[in-house]
Amino acid sequence: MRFSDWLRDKRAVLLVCFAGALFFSALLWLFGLEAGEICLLIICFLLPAAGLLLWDWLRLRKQLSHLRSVMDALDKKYLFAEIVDAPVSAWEKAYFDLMKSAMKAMTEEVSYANRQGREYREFIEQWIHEMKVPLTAIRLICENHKTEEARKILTQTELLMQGVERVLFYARLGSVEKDYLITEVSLRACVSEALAQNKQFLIQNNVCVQMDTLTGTVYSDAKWLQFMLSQLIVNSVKYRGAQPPVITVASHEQENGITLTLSDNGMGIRESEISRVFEKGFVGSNGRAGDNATGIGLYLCDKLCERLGIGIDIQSKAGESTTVLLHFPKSDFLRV
Amino acid sequence: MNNILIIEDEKLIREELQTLLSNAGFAVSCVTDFENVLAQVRAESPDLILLDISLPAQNGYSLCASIRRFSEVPILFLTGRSTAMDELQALTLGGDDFISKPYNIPILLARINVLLKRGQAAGQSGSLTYSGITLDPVAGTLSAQEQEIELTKTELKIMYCLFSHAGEIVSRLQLVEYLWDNEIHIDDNTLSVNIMRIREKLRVLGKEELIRTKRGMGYKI
Repeated sequence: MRFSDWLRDKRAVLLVCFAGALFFSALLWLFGLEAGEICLLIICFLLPAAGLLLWDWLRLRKQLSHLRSVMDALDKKYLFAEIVDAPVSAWEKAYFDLMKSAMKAMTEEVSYANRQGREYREFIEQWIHEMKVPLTAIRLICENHKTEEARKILTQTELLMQGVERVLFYARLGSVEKDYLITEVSLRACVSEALAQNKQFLIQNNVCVQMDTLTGTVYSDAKWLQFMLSQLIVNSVKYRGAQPPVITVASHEQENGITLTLSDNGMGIRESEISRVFEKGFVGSNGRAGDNATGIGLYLCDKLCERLGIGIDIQSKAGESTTVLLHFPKSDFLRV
Repeated sequence: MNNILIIEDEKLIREELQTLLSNAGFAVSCVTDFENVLAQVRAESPDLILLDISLPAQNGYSLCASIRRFSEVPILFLTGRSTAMDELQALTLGGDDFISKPYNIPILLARINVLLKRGQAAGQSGSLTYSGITLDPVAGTLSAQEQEIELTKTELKIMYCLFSHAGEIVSRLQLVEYLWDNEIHIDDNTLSVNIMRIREKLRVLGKEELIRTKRGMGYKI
């Protein structure tokens, strides 16, 4: 609040003061008082009034800055009304009470929405765990009776599993910090597991994977990392080019960490679209041409990387190749 | 033969696991009465336990802790849950490894083998001989009548797979799957190239006829 704003608020009082002073001056003039005496009287009247108003301004300003500092320090801003002292004046008090009940209603609404979100998330997680039982059974049955059909069913089961997994990780995205276990992860083992998860799908698609130069370990969460790699690998096959897919996974040791690169010979991404591939729901011309793009896979990867402190970057030549780079910064304090 | 005990309450999964592990050459027994698991563990004295976490009477974690009181047998947790907390709990309560559903079968078998080898000396496979040709998997060589040739890793795995199915037809898909399980991720065309190279090497040994192509079915030695 600026001083001029405050003056405008008080304009009625100020007007009455000045009008009164003018009126009484005129009246006293008519009664035959001298100009000097009238001036003295007016000063005696205006000085206390001005003093009172100034005091009011200073008080309000101090109060306001106190409230602002409380607000700034507050983590959950909507609890503001619960924290600050109730005002003294009757009008402010009434106003404050109204606002407080509005805030309270809002807080209830927020906690209701939070609870609903949490319950929904818990339901989804529970449901996914239930889904894993029949999925495991399907896998085992197919593995025990390896026929042509069983292999096809396995391929579809792998895709199904990918979808289910994606739902699980999407549901958990909000609480990654509660659900990771940082260990020393061998990049090679992690990529191998991601490949094994999608083995039938990859073999059926005639995929060739080269990982001769993949070495090194990083400190990260194996489960999340594997999920991301699996998404990226399946993407490479989904958006394949004319040739049989060849995926090359390599690692480069650098001064400030390790970079894992995953490149393919797929259809690539148009230059105009590459900056948007990490957006949620972005499908692009490649996705629209195919039939099962969701615009979620890369979004999840990006978000997960952010949470895990991994740098992610994507480079592509349309019609030739796509390379995804994951940069694991070297962190000294994890090595303690 | 290693004896594996499965503690899993889903009947179908239990039975299929039993089939799978028997096919992989393990002696398998299952717990079916969940009221008295510990007595069965004592009676069987297995070399390895596959333990599910959500069980009817007592959950897997507390079961694991109870088993640890009298036995050091390796325990591999199998579970549908996969949060970091579950993993941590499984390992701190004395579990040796943790694998979440739906487990990938080659990975499951690999982990089982790792745990079993922990207690014993690694059972290194010796050399295989078929129709006068010897495959030495450790040295990575094929030899016949004093002559020896070196194989690359991929060629070695292909030959190993063929030798261990000597006299049978091995389909191309079977070979590719075997290679993928052994961390060699190649496609059908690359397999053909490798077979061609092996044949060239066999020619040096004078045994180019060793690998026969069964049209539409696969390879056979």
